[in-house]
Amino acid sequence: MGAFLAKRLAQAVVVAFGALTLVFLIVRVVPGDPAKLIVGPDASAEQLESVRADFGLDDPLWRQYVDHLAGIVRGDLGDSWRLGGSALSNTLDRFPATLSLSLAALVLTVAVGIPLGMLCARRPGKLLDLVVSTGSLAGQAIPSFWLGIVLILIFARQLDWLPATVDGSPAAVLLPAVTLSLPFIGWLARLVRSSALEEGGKDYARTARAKGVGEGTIQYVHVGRNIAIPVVTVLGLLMGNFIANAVIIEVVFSWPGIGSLMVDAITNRDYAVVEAAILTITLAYIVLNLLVDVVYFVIDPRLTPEDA
Amino acid sequence: MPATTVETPAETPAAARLRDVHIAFGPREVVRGVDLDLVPGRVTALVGESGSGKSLTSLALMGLLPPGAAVSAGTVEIDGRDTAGFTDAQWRELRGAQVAMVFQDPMAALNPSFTIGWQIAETLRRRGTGRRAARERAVELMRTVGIPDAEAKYGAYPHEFSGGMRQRAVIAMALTLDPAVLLADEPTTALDVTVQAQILRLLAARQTDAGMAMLLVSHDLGVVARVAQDVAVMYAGRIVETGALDDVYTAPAHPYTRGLLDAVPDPARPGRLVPIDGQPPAPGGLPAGCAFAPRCPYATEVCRTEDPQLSAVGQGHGAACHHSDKVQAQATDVEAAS
Amino acid sequence: MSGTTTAAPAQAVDSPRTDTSRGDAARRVPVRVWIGAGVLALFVLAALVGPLLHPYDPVATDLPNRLLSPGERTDGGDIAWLGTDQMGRDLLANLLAGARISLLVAAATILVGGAVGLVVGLVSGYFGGWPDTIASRIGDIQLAFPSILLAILLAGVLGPSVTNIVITLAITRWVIFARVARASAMATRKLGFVDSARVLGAGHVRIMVRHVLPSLWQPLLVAATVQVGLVMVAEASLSFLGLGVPVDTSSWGATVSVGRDYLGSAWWISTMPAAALALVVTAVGVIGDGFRDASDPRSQI
Repeated sequence: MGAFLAKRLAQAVVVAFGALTLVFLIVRVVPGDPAKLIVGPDASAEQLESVRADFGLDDPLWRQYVDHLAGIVRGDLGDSWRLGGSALSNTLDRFPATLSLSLAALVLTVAVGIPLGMLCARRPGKLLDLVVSTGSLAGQAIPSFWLGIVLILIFARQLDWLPATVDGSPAAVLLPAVTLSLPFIGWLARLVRSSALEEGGKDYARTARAKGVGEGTIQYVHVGRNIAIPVVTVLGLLMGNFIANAVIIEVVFSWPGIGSLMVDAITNRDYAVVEAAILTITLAYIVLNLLVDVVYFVIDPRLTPEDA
Repeated sequence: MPATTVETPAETPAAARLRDVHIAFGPREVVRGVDLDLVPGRVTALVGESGSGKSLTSLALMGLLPPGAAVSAGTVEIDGRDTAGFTDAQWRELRGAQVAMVFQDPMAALNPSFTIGWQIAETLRRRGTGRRAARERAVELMRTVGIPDAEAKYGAYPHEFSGGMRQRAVIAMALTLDPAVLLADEPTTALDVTVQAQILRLLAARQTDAGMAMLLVSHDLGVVARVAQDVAVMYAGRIVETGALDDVYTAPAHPYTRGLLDAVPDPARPGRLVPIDGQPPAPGGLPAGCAFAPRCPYATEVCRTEDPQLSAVGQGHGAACHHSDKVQAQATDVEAAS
Repeated sequence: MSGTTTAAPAQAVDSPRTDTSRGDAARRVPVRVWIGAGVLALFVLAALVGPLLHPYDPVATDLPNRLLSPGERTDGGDIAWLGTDQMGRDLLANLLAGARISLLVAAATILVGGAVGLVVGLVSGYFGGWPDTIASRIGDIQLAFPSILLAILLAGVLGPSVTNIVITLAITRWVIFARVARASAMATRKLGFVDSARVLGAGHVRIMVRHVLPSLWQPLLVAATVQVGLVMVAEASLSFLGLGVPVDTSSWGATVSVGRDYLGSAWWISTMPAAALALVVTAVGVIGDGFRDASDPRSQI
């Protein structure tokens, strides 16, 4: 198990390294004069000069890259010209909001999606099953930014049941979390449904029936344990998706997370913050994938280290 | 009831009884009128090619026909009770307790995500036995079926067992509640040749000890000959020959049985391996008259128009063939000649 | 922007399809696929011809006719079928112009991303070895990186323009096509006829083009139908964020964003483009499902 984890960890490090190189290249190479980007379009020639000197922008690219990496190792991603202070600390301040939104969405998806999928698998082809499969198709096609707007209109403006944005109450997370999770609830339900149907058709389910075990127990215990493995894998991926997809939802709901910070930073060309935001989300994403590997390994009795 | 002419070779009342059972997938009849008595203390073999309906017949005794299939006519009686119209709860009551089953592929039959011990104990736990008692009984059962070091193996997962050990575990699961009827569907087919004999011996020993009625479903007459006392041969959804094992083996009265026997490699008579020509008919594509006629060397005009019924050819020995006397005569000729 | 990252998992859901019989689907095209194809054809027609018949002027203002609800008449006597926006511009004309952008971006992205993916996948799948290792590692790194972040970063850095949107989305999509092409190329490479062509003296390029390439079209087509919908949603999402098309260009996503402020009084401004997008994306999804069912399951990845 140690060797397996070490291997996955090494892979994760390579991927993280690749990701930050990619971000560096995009930010430094593509947009023209970075000094102008840092100081803003109205900067004087002297200001530009001093910024170039400060940031080492006159150095060759490889030099800048090495400095950049060294900075990252020290946890220094530069300062935000807009917000003041370190870009990283600005970003990390926003991380709990993104994390709580994503977690709420994950809880919602699991709490609704799994039972829904199990119910559909109990009666495939019946009304509920058809409603869910049609709904999941529609749920994935409806643009989430519009869905968020509509939910605000209905539940916040018309009915006044829920806050449309942060107001200090825990209920504020509800609307954005619903918006974020809705497309994935149907998706997870279909995944659970098809795995449950596939597993339920296997011989061991028949063996359980032959032992006199009831259908409910067969589905939730015998089949349930076997589909837990693919489902847990998917939950980690879902969480990663939520953290990434939260970007747009955060903008719609003015949610104070990394996503809205990043879009703000992008439109204001505050690239230090953009980099910090992307690195934070990417790292969270990679760590989640790593966690999935570990959990997968722990819950499947058939997996031995050689399988990994 | 076409089988009235054949007497059951039993003095004790049957633990399970099939009368004129038909099983159909919608309009397609795959089992077409089967009579079978499973008597305590006796092993009945149900023999036939795949697709003959033998597995469906055994599943009907558990109420476990696959989706789409149903008993369309006839009665399935277990412990004297007609199971027609049984609710799911009534079936669950019977399964495991009255009728239990050993399946063909033990790896597939066991749940990969639960320990062997848990799966054996589950049958008891679902019926209210306490955790500790169920565990003790499960370990005891594991010993009974010859799993060495049972206490330690309780917590093992199926993938940690060998094929033979897995099948022993499946047998232990079937024996948990001392069922009156044990159904074994090709219990050795998925196993190594070397362990096949062990598993058969184990099944026979458990059956004798408990005085169970056992139905051994197999395509292999060699397997059947080791444990069964009675044989029923199925072809295209019907029993075409039935009787005591010795009678059927020494004097087969149906050309299909003869063909099967000829196809068994006999160490005493090498070179006499004669497979049956042709393919069994598809359900729904049955010829008029006898279903075996197109493959039958004895077939005459009457075979192509009239469907033969099971009728007595000896003491407790029946066959569904217009020419059973000829078949039997030739069999004895061959015996005499060799 | 749920679509961008749902791509891979959505395929995972559908791949162990046991409920429909594949054989029948190959022979008969289900009704819903015909409906999907009809919707798509209508969309393409509207995108190509619509703006010519019913042109949209992004800078016009016609304040007397602002915020008319669908079906109302303008003071000029015309019927505003889908209503008008906050500047009095006809929403139908706006949607038709947006459809053109949507179609243009989707088609161009698939072509560019598909072409790059095809070449990279073909070469790395055919030769294997170090070109394959390098291409695969780059792909791994990119996929480990949430594609929406990459899209936002690129679009933000490049600045709003239709060309930049296409570049951005093509960069986020090429990996998918490269993987599909690589797997098919590898499978074909192992078949006997490639070796016999080598023995007969055919060059690598000739073998790739004549023998390997034909086997890639079908899986790439299946991948493309899945990607079309995702690209359309991605474009709308970026435009919604203000990172997509320039402000004077019509885009469904941008219109939804503008309509946000009028949702209470003029729901149609946001809802119409969102509904149009959902309809077309669903249609493409249904067609993609149909394609996947009809094509040989073994050719899929």
